[in-house]
Amino acid sequence: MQKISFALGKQALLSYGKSISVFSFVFEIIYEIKNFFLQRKITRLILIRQILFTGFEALGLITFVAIAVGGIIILEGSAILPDFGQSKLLYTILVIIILRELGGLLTAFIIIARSGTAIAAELGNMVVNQEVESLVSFGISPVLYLVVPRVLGVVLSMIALNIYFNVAALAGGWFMAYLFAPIPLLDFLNKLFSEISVNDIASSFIKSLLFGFVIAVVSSYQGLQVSFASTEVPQRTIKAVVLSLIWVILFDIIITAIMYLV
Amino acid sequence: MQKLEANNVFYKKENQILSDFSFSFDEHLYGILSDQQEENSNVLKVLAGLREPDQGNILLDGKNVYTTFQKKERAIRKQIGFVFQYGGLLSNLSVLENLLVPYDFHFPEISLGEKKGKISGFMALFGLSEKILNERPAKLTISARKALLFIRTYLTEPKIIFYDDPFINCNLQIKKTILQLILKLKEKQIIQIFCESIDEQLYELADKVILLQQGKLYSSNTFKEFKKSNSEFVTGLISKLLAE
Amino acid sequence: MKFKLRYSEKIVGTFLIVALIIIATSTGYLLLHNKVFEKKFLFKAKFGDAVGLSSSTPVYFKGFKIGVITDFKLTDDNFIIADLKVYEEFRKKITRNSALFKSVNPVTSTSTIEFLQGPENLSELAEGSMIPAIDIPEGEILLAKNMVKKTGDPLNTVIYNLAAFSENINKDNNVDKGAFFRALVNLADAAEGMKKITDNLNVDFESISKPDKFGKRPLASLVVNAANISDSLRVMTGLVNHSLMRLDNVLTVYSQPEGLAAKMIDPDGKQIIEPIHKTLTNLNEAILKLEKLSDFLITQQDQFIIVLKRIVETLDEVQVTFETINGGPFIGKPKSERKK
Repeated sequence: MQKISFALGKQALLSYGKSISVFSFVFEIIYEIKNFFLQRKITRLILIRQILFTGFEALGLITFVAIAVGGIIILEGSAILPDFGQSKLLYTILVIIILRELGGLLTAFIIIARSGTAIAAELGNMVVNQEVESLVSFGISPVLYLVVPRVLGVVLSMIALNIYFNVAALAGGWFMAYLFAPIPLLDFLNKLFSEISVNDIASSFIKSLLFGFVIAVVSSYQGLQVSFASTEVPQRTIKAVVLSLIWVILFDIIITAIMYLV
Repeated sequence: MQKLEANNVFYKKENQILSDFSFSFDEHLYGILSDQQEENSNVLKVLAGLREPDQGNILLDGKNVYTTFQKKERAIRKQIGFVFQYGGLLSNLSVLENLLVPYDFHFPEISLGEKKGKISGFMALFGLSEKILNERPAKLTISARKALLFIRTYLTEPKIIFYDDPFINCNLQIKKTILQLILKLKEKQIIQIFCESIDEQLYELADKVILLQQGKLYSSNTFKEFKKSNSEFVTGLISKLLAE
Repeated sequence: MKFKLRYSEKIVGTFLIVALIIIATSTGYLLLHNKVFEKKFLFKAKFGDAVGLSSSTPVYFKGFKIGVITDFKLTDDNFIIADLKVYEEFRKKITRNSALFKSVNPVTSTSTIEFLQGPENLSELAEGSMIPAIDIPEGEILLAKNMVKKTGDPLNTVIYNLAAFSENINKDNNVDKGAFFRALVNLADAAEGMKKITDNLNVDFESISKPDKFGKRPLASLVVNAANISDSLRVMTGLVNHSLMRLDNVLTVYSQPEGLAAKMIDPDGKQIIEPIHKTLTNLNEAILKLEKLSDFLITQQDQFIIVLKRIVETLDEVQVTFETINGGPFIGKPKSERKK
């Protein structure tokens, strides 16, 4: 099975201009993840740079967006909820909106905008510049060398950024709540944690994992679909963004449905 | 005794690039001359195992180059070097990192110091400053980039080397060095296959020149013999090369 | 950029490790908070329906999370049996005759389950026993016997209490409701009986207290005892009236939506539910006393009247004697004149 999938992906990458099956591509990525750890020496550097670029450099933007969103939720919520005598729902809403939904989605959107485009464009240019072929000529699988570190890097960055986003958004929420009615941080945390279930954390984790994977796979796939002309690069980049957005939202719906409805 | 065999190879993109091509390469220097000059790269890539043919197979010492088994493939790739016409250097890595990619991959057992020593030797040979080792390829001159493609290939000491337009983008010094190296490797009985579109010099040095007509093997002989030929097709090809 | 590249490994390492620490700490804290590692005691909970139940619905007691509903299924007789895991530190709170109160938040549709502790002097409930919700018969009995009291989310409590009240008021097997109507019936009976007594007494008094020919009421002093009785009767009537007024107030409150709405924010039901209960209890007590008194009076009525009549007869004789004395030519008028 592994050999077949590898053959499919390999063939796909070798047969420029012919359409590559996404499934064989995904199969090969999963298969090569194992080899990634055997070939750490040459792939580690790319992984670290990918995390540096996708994760660390996006941290400022993520933090800013998160604090703002957390504050806004509290602002909107505290304008409405006390009228119903349901002030304690603030925490529920904060948890539902941020942990379960917005955290993952907004982080994914930011990563698509920053790194999805970058990956598609970079890989597209690498194809044009014969860099991908030179890897094949060494016997290094482009999937192993180019795609797997990007997938792992984006997944790890996505997970980490999602965590930072959640923390920053909840902090922003606390700060805004503090402006209205001073709540000690510990009280806030206690109330918050009584609203969070292990399910929420698990769903947040699974979402960021899947979103990261989807973004990286879609963007890499689109990038490698460039065959020889550099004019194809922007077209593929746009496609990467659009398809990443669609898939992320589809997966979001599916995961939410599985986690909270079943 | 190394041997690369092409058996009834068909490869088609827009044109028929290879059509029922069969040839056996042994430890000599081969030049390929085709009436579809723009497809030279693709011919070499099919032979080098970078473009899978639609039909037929390419065997290296009896083993199919297009294997799906990773270990076998790695062993085969270790023996094949390919010098690209342009590009080919990973733009997000420094020069040193670029040179180390295939070297580390195929020779993980050699220490970094030893590798760096060998790299320095080649850099000196090509007249390149070691300062550029930490630069990105984009910062270098075109001929320096081209030289790096050669160095990268020679570092792993392959048994078969393909050259795709080796003299394009080369300054004179580098061109001279390349010629020397090719001749040296010829003596070492390494299989070397090239396509060249601007210089006849290398064809004259080649042990055998292969003529392709619409992807079909027209004839193979030494360049000197071809020059004597009366065939319209052959004289046309040669005059085209000389005109460049 | 060069700085970042040179230290990229350290930066990336820190970036990932800090995230890892955050997630590990919060997961750990959450697990502790949810008492995943704590010893739990398993009880069964029985509900009328599963609306708003989920596999991790928390159960609260006086605002503390004392346990969690983990699993639930529908039984053959259409009740919901759920597993209730109670944390070790709250094990002692689970006493016999306790109940559960499930209310569904109208806004979030999530349910809040409150543990209603049984009377404090009762012993601990054995592990694995069933705790009923108050919306099933077993729970209703506990509620009716006043073993447990409802509290909880203000909005829910008010809505629930209103619903329960309007439902129970028409239910025959409910103790409170019985009391309510019995009180009204008794009150009517008592009032009627009292009217009779007063009427009779009036007649009697009239017959014995006709002013004499001097315009005085010579027997007045003799009726002091009777007057005392009627005084106490008046006090009793006042009490009945008072009770009726309070009942009337309560009924007014319930008949006026605005007045009720104002009291809906009352979280403990102290202004609505308790007063009505107190009134009914008071009323019952008053009526019981009244009944006793009127029974007594009715049984004693004949003798009372006989005594009074005898007094009257005696007085008449005394009067005749006096008249005879007075009837002397120099003292008074003839008897025939006086009797007009």
